[in-house]
Amino acid sequence: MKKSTTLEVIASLLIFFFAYTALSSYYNMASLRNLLAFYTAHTTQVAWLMVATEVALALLLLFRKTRLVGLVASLCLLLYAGSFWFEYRSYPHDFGGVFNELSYKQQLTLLSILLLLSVTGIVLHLLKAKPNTNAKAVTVSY
Amino acid sequence: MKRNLLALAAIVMAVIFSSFTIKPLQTVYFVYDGSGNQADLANYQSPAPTSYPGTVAGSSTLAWFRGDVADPGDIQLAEFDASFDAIDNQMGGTIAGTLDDETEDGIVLEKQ
Repeated sequence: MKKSTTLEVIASLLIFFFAYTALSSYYNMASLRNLLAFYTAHTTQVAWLMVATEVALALLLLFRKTRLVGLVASLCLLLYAGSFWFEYRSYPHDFGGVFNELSYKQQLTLLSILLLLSVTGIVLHLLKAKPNTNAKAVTVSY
Repeated sequence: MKRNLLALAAIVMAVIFSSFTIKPLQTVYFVYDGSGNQADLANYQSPAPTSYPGTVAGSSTLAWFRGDVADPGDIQLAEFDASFDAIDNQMGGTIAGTLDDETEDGIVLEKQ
């Protein structure tokens, strides 16, 4: 499979994940606020911030010009989420979307897969953007 | 537009799938106060207190369990019972009226 096609597939999978999580969280906002009561007193603000972040990530990944930023941002968010999972192991982690249906171990597996996709996406994007050093210099004289 | 077809398809799929996740009831978490009858709503806090102490791995007393209610500000006894009974004796336990004997799940119930 070509690098660009692989990158397209990775970006699309991440877009699907973030868009689905954002929409699911938006539709079930009250449930998300009930969950966030474990973590913060500012449940409404944090809930909206989560939805806005997920939408922003999906949009960044959608356009080719901002895709690298989107991939790095997803990596950062997923790393943060991963550390959160370990730090608050005994709290519920129903942060919307697919996560609401998975057990703790399955959630960690999904996070690992998404992390791997983000890292692969970043590497492929950088390889794709790397200029071809073997190309011969062309001199144009007028 | 054509170049972003796959990404756009991902968004459309997300919209379609998420429309199936709309729940008529709210998910709440019943946080057990650590004493008293586990099948009694009076021994739980919901919504969760932010000073919730967390759980200790390997221990066996109920910490919280997940349930569904229409209004978290006015939880009905029948709603609590339905959520409790959905777990009691359904996750490996055999003793009715307690969730201590159920298998810890992390998404449905946690122990401390």
